[in-house]
Parts: sequence; C-alpha cells; structure tokens
Amino acid sequence: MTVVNRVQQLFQKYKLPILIILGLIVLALPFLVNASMVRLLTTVFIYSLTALGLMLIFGFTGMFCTGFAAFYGTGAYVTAILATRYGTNFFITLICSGIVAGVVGFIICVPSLRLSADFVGLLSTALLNIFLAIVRAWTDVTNGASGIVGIPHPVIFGHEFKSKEEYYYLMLVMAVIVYLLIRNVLNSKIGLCMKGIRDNEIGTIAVGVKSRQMKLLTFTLGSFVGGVAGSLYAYYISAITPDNFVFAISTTFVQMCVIGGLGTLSGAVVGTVFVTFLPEVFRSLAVYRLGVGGLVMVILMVIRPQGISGSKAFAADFSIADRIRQWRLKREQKKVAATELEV
Amino acid sequence: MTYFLQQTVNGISVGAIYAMIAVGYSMVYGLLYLINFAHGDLYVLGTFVVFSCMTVFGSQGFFSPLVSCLIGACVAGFVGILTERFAYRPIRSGSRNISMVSALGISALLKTISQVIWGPESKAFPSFLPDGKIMLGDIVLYERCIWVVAFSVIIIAAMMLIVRYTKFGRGTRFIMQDITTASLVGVNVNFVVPAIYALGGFLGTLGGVLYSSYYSLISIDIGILGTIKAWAVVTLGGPGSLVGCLVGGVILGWSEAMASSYFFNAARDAVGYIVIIAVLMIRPYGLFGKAKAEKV
Repeated sequence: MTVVNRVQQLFQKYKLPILIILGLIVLALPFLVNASMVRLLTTVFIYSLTALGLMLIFGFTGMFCTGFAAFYGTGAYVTAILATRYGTNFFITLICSGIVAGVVGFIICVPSLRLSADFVGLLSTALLNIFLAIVRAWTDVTNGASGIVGIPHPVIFGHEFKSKEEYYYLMLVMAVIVYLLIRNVLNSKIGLCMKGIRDNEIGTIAVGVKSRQMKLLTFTLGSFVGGVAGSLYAYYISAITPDNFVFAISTTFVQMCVIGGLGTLSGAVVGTVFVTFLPEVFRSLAVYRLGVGGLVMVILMVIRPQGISGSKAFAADFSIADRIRQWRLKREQKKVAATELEV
Repeated sequence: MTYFLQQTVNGISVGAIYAMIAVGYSMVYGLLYLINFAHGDLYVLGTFVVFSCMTVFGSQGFFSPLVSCLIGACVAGFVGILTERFAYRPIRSGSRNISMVSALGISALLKTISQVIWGPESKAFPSFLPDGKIMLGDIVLYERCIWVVAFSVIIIAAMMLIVRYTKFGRGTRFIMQDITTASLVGVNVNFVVPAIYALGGFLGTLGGVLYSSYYSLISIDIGILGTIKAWAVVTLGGPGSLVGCLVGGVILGWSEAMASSYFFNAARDAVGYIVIIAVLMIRPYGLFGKAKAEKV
C-alpha cells in the first residue's frame, strides 16, 4: 500500500467534506494569493480543459494525439476572428469555436481510424503543422505571424469581465461545467463503451460495440472541448500568435494526461496542476528549471508509471515501487524464518 | 526544367541528412516502439560536443574533424546508454505512453544541459565539407551535397549489413519481433537494447553534424525540429526499416524543397506532411513497414 493509495482511500471515505473544503479554498484563493499566482491558476483552469479533451481522445480511445494544439489553436483563432471582426456574443463565439474545432477533429479522425496509434500521432502532428502553415500564410484572415491582437473582454449578461479575479471565476466555472458534463458522458451508456475501448478494444468490439463510431464520437467530443479551451484562452490573453500553438505546447498536453494518469478524468486536472506548477516551483533555479522539471518527470514516471491518480491497470509490471515492496517483503520473510529457526 | 532539377538536387541532399538523423531513431523506434522525443536533444548535445572539439582542434584538414565527430558521437552514445538505463529500462514492461513521457523529461533535461553549457543563441558551425561546385549543364552541383548523400548512403548500407549478417543484428531483429521470446531463447536483451540506444545517439550525432555543417548553424532549437523530422521520416518509410529510412528521408526532403520553391516558404512543412498523410492512406504501415499483428 503506497502513500498515494492511502490518500486515495481516505479521499473516498470522506469525499464530500474534502470536496466542500477544497471548493471553498479554490473560491477564496484570489483573495489569499498574489496576482501572478491568480494568473497561473487561471491558466491551470484553461489547460485542464485541454487536458480533459485530450484525455477523452488519448486516455479513453488510445488514439495518440500529439497535435492537440491544432484544435486548441483552431478554437482560439475562430474566437479571435469572430470577436474582433464581428463582435459576436461570448456564448455564441464559444460554441462556434468548439464546433469548428470539432469538425476539424472529425475530419482528421476519419483517416486516423485506419491507422495504428503511432501513425495517428504523426497524422495529428501533421495536422498541427498544416494548421500553423495556414495560419502563418493566410494573412488576410489570421494576420500571419504577427497574430491577432485586441480581442475584446467577454461580456456575459451585460457584465464585462475585466479584472484577473473575474477571469479567475469565469474560467473556474467553465472548467467545472465542462468537467461535470464530461463526467456525465462517461457515466452514460456511451461512456461505458468508451471505457470498454480503453480497457480492451478487441473485447469491446466482440461484445457488439461499434468501436469506429465510438472513436469518431470521442475524438469529435475531445476536439470540441479543445476548441472551447482555445476560445477561453484567446479571451483570456486577448492577443494570439501562431507561436502560442506550437508542437511543444502539444507535448505539454500529452505530459499532463500521462502524468495525471491515463484513462481517469481527475488525472487530467491533477496532471495539469502538476505540469503547470512544476516550473514555478523551481523558478529560483532560473535556466536549470526546465531540466530539473524534466528530471522530476522521469523520476515520477519510474516510481509511479500509471500517473498520479491513474489506476494500476496502466502500470508497468515491475515499477521501482513494486520492486522495493518485493524486497521488503523478502526481508520480512527472512526475518520470520530466522525467528522461527531460533524458536 | 533546370530549376526543377536544381531543386531536386537540393531536396535530395537535405533528404539524405534527414535520413541520416532518422537512422538511429528508426532503430530505436523499431526495437521497442518507443516514440523517442529525446532523440533530437541527444544529437544536438553530441553536435555541440563536436562543435567544442572543433574549436579546440581546429576544423581544417581531414583528421581533426573526424576525431571531433567521433568524440561527439561517442559522448552522445554514452548519454544514450545512460538514459536507457535510468529512464527507459525501469518502465520498459509498461505502456509505451509512460516511456514516452519520461523521454519528454529526458529531452527537457538534455536541452537544459546544452543550454547551460553552450548558451541559448544559435552559433555558426565551422563547415568542414568541401566548398567547391560542379556544373552539370545549367545545374549547380555543390560538392558538399555529394559528400552528404554519399556519407548517408554508406552509413545506412553499413547499418543494413550489420543488421543482416552479424549476431548482434540477428538479436536486434528478433527483439523487434518479440522481446519476451527473444530473451527466452538467449538473446541478451539488456545488452542489445542499450547498444541500439547508443547507436541511435552515435548515428544521430553524425546526422546532426551533417545538418549543422550543411547549414553552417547550430542551436538548441534544431533538436525538436530533428525529432519531428526523424519521426516523420521513420513513419513514412516504415519503423525499423533502414531502406525505408533513406527513401522516406529523400521523399520528405524533396517534397519540402518543391513546396518552398514552387509555393511559398511557409508551405514547406505543410506539404511535407500532406505527402506523408497521402502515403499513410495507401500504406498504413509506411512504405517498407510490415503490418504488426495485434495480440488479443
């Protein structure tokens, strides 16, 4: 029984009080911490949306999507264009961004169904590069490499969101809504099929689930969520350039999912918090901070291969933690044998 | 027509460099199906070592660049062994996604090491390839292009011979098919796998040196570029296939040269990938790849 498992057990036991206390802390945080921390937390909420979207694709259907920033970027660009040129309503822009990203996801998913996981990864990377090339070249619409600036603040029911605290609460509410929606989807019949594909795809096909349709649906849903996240991101930073959506961002999303634990929704959030805060924790190390972050990541993967909140099903056979446990078990047995001999 | 042929020549020499970078990646990838995101940063580290050695030994003549390349490649190979031992081997039996994230971590680590030692800005790489030109009618054939292509073809042919005819190569091919059975019948898995990682770093560094001296430029940012290109080339040619590597590299380099000369420069990346998508639609396992049976 590792420490993490014990924490999980405690969490299961006192779920409601813990959640209420955590919720109150999160609500009160903008008044407790400094401005840069509030900004960081707001990005955590946005990134947790992308991680949730990617988790659907990568964690549940196993389609290895390294180009997720393409959907995120599509959402952001649709929002930027709609909001700056046509001044559309916040909710309409949000939904439009999601739908466009979802359609792109659907189109890219159709050929992906023929390919194995690694090739899907390359295909989505290809999509990301094509997306970036289009954005950089189509200067009339996307303003090329200099990007779109001056995206207006979101206005909801006549209230304009300006200050960073207001943004914090907006992103928090959006993240919670999307999280709950995805959780409900996963608890439905469709979600059961998704989980089946996650655990054993061939077995799931054998019991009559149409795996391809399920994958298409999941991929579209995931890219929709990615588009919504991109839209919120565009509203939040109010100026976007193609450099916000490069390959490195995509791999960060993948890291969030794997570190949090593939195939779990809470893993997406936990992984996002971990990956976003890791460089901040080591901020005092200046240039060394990325490298130290990488080292921590490697150590974490070696010690806990299934991710922070992942299930054992995704773990390696012999993680280091397992080996230490076995070693301790053997030592115990030796001790017992020795005492028995003495007796 | 002359323009087309000229661009073809340029594209093929860039493609040969891509192939060279991708050979090591292909071996590693075909062995354990690990998408090795650290490959780029590993070869950049090796190339930086070569760069330092060349500033010490001088970049003129034949002998000192050769020694520098060997030192850099051996350093990269050694780092490859170390990463295999401490970052990949403990989690080898798990899902590939896990080793992929630890590869990302290693990538960040190696990048930071390069950045701390050599600085983040790009530097001029001393080009030791000969600078002459040969005129074939209207087409300019740079001598360095010929050297790059010849070097890549020789190295890849040597690798093919090793994989085909030596005991080590047989072990490698067996592990590519099934690592558990290979270890059961006496292939020393924990020797072959680190050796392949070392070879990946070694050959990657040679490719990196070719790249850097072709463009006379070195910076830590070419790492991520190299990783993506190598991945694309390997996917195009088929994982684990060395001929596929060469053909895939040349196709990618050629289509990129065509795109940047006939369309506009930003289209370069996109067209290369469109070609890959088109190939993958027809052959889902790459040009020379074999379909891998799925275990139930």
